[in-house]
Amino acid sequence: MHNTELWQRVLAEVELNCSRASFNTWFQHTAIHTKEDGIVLISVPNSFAKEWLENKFNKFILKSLRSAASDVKDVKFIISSSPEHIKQRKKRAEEREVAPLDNQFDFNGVDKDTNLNTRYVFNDFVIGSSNELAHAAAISITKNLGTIYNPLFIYGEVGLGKTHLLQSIGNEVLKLDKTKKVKYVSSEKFTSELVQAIQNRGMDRFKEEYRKNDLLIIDDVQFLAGKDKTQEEFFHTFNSLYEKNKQIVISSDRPPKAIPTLEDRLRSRFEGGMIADIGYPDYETRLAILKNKTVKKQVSLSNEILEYIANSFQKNVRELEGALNKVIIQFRVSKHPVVLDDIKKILSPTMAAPKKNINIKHIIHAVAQFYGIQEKQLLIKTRKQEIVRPRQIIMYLLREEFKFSYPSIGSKIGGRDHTTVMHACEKIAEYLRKDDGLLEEINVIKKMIYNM
Amino acid sequence: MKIICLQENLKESLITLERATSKNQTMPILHNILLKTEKGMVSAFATDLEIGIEKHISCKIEKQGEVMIPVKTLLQFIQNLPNTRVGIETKNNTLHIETEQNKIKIPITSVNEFPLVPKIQPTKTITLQKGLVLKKALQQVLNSIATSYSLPEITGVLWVVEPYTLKLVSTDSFRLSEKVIFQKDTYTASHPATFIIPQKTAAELVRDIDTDEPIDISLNEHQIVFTMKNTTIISRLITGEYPKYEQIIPTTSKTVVELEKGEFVSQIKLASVFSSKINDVKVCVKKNKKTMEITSQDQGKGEFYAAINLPGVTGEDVEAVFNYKYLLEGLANIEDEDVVYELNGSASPAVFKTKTGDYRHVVMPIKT
Repeated sequence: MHNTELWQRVLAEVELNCSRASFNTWFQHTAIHTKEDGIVLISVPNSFAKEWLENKFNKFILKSLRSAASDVKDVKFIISSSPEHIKQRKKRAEEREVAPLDNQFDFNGVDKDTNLNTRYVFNDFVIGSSNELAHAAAISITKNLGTIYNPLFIYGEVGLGKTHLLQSIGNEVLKLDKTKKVKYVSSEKFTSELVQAIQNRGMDRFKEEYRKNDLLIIDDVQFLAGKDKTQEEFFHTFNSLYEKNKQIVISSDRPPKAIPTLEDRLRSRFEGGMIADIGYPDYETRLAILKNKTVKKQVSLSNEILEYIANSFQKNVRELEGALNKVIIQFRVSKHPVVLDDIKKILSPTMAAPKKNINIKHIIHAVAQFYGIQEKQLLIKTRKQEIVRPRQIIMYLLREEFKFSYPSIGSKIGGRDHTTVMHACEKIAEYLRKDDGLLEEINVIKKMIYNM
Repeated sequence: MKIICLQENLKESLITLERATSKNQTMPILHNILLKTEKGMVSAFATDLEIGIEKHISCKIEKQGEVMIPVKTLLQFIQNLPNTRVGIETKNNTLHIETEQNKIKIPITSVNEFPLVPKIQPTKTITLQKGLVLKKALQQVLNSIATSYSLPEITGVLWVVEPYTLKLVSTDSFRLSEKVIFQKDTYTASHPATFIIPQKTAAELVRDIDTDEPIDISLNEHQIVFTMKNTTIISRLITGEYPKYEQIIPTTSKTVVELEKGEFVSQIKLASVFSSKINDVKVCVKKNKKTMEITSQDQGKGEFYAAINLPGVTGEDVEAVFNYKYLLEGLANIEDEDVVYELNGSASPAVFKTKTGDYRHVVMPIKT
């Protein structure tokens, strides 16, 4: 029997045996907190209720608990730290407050001057082979600010911990020396501050603001691409800091070379210091991250479950954490122990679709269906226009999407020569450049293939 | 039970106790007070289960006992009596109240239904040598307490008790008050402690402290008891973590202004007449002219301008818009005539301080 059900039965019995007023006063917002080894812990909203139930209803509650569940030996009371009625009050208040006003204090731990969030520290950063270089570089610059690797350029895909590393550098530097001036800013914010400064004729202050720092951290620098004026201003800021041996740390989702429309003088400067990349975490690192998190959140999940999560989310630490949170919530609300099958069920909607075994048959089927032709017709030797194009599309998809080799494509599509396949791929690529309609068609086909 | 007391004493106590009774219709027991004789004294107790107040009433005891009385009826009756002797006696489930001219009978219910006063095992104790010091300190932070329950932790006063200072803090996330009581013989504490008392409890303490007698405080994780000479207040504590308020208080300031409070307050009051719906008043410090300009305007009402001379300015010129209510309420919490006003531009918090630094009121400007 569930705890709620059990408590309902007790309440029903109590209600019959005491006055309405007394029942309302003492039994509102009570619940069974835990039931362990025959001891039932009942949470009550306040110490008055605790005193009352302990003194006047102890025996009665015990008796009716026993009659419902014979294994109950004793009953104890605790004051619930978050009583139900306070939660309700909070909920109601939140509903009433439509929009948060922006002239409020910010309690979220983001420092106004440095923009750093104190939450990010090196201690929480899980090191694996994919990020140890970046981590080591980050640690060493905190000890030798501006002298060894300047600038430090860190790049990696989304959700792999760039921001964590960057903010940790800032927090660590401040921890070592409070007087250091540190500023963390995303390139988007840099741009908007610049625009504001131009509008308000505050360029002098803007320049001063950025050039006085001992450590300037620019996150997601790839967004500077294409913003020429910002790039120019950033270039000057960069130079002035660099000349004074002030540390600069930059992050991006790709290496400087790969950022389009980044001015060459900036690119060469970015490449002048140390470039470290953060790759996808390997399995062990992912598992270590999950274990770290579970310790922090004080839950114990079985290895089996953690291993499953680590296996399912391979390319993004943020998604990995999201999945873990989902599991933890389930773990907390669930009344019976969570097993691996439950986890699979919960995570399946968010799961990075595991690579399905898509074979040639699927593709031929999809294309045939899309163009309304029979599958075997696609494979026979014919030069009918309505057959040729779809066949070329099949070859193109096999080559571009699934990286088959030309000869193997040829042999599978009715034993054709590899040059035929090459010709088909070129042809489709050419059509694609000219014809947006074809692009649409191919996208629809791709969707059909993946959804099969 | 049979007692005789003076109307005046009874009335005072009943007014206090009435505040602690519950207005909740579903809990009619809590509309009562419990009157009982104890160790040669009469005590009266009322509670709404969040706060409980016990009052000692001086009277003559003729027969020991206890009784539960609906407070509203009793208070209305006693309040309208002249100051005379009042006799209270229980006979066969009826309460008899007698004065020289009146004879009252009130039906009573069994005291068995009345809440038991929780016995708390204190883990920490604090003694405040001077009651009025606490009263004044609480008064200074009372009006910044949040009234909305969306962040329950800030609907009370944070106490930070340390060996050398006792800090009282309140905020509603638009402004913040911090009062520091220095140790110098004003308090002793068994342990350092950090806890949050609900707004109602703080307000009740301000009302009930009326002498400079010492106040004993004992507390555990959930409950706190304030023991005064004639009054004991028992209250729940707000559980949860108070936001890290220190980071809100600016450590440096761009502009520092010395103000004469009286003049500033009267100009802000005048400006408030012309402020728009959002209560905005603009403050503008001109360093070279040593003046502060106060302006406000509303499309319908018109425009206001005032300039006041400043005894001292350091730092840069500044312009910022504030909610005048927060300015006035913050300044009302400061007794001294000389106030230090520190500004940090138009988007960062400004601070009112006393010269001794024992009180700080932080106000967030309205962003325009």
